Amino acid sequence: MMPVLNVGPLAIQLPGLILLVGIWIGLSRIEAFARRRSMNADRINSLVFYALLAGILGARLGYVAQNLPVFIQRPLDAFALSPQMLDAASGLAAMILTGLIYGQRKRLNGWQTLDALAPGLAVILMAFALMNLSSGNGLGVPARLPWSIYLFEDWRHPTQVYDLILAFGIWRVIESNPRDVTLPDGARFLTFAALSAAARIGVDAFRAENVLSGLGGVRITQVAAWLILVAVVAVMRRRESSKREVIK
Amino acid sequence: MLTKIHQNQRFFPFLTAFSLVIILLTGFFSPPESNSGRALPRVGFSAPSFTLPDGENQPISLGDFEGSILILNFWASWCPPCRAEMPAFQEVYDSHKGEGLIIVGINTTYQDDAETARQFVFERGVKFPVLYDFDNSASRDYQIQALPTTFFIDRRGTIRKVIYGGPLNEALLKAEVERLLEEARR
Repeated sequence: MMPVLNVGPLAIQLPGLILLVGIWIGLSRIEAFARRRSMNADRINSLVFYALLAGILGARLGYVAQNLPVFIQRPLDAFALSPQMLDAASGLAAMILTGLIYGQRKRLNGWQTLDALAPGLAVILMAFALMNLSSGNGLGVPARLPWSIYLFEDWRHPTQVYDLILAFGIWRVIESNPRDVTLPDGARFLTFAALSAAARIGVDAFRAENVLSGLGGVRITQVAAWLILVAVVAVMRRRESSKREVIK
Repeated sequence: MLTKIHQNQRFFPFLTAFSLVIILLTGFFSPPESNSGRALPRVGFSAPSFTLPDGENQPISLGDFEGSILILNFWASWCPPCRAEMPAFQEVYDSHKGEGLIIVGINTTYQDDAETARQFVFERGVKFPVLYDFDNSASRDYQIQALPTTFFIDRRGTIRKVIYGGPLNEALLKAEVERLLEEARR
């Protein structure tokens, strides 16, 4: 675990650095995929850029809105370069909304665009696992296994490593068969969503930090991930049956 | 590989069913573990206890602040962001101390000069308790790897937020403190 990398007088927040590298590699994978599929890579790049920018602005605005009385007293603090003053849910909402608006304006094919984004999202998933390994977040339950890691005064399941291995596997699957035109549009993205949800369910069974759902040791994140998985499979089925009807 | 997965009609239904089995197994076999009560310098765990001398060499323990909302700020006099954020801590302490907020500055004296640290506290007019970690005991238990590091602890002694680095501004401190105070009022 190394949340901070001390380089001389500089204290670099390693998880943040890993995220930046992950986003950079992810963007290059998205661009490579878009070019292989003869898509407009510049438009996809712009979409990601605007969505990321909106995500950061939205996250800060969400934080300010949630603590409005404080920022009315000190409005200039809203512009501070403080990564702690971000609200993840607001950022995500702003990111999705901006992506939708940009995609509609530029008439991008929704499913094809999501397919192009999937390899990048898979890389970012790996970056998240490495971030957790660096910060110690998402730690596993205590266990004496040959592969346990010593973290916070206990031998524990290396849940961050499980996450990393599964994220790597998902990335390999998502990046496979890039030129296969028999795959329906959206199949790559939906597969990514389904496999990520299943990985979350599996790894969270060994996590110590997650909030419990009230059903024994079941985590809320496991229940949420399973609902996502069911929804993704339902969308896949629906798209397949409508495709069959069109062929008929 | 992706093509094979999609050609196999049973893959996704099997994945859904298998995931449900894992959830059920987790429900039956994984104990409903609670982090509170275990002392670790992490969000969701109890704050590790410490006993350190203050400026007048009187021992002060974490238990002395029981029932208060507590901010622990690990700092050193040679650390520029630590120095820069001290007025914000003082401002927040002044405005919220009547509501049950305690701010405790823990000087990492084992890697600082005690006299310089005391001089800094005096010059900046720091009014909240400042403790001196001569033997690295508290810094070790809180696994301090960078300065400043700030812990926000609720009335039950559970760590709610950890911020590595700084300087923290007044709005951020107030937002976090008011969130904890609001929770305590409910």
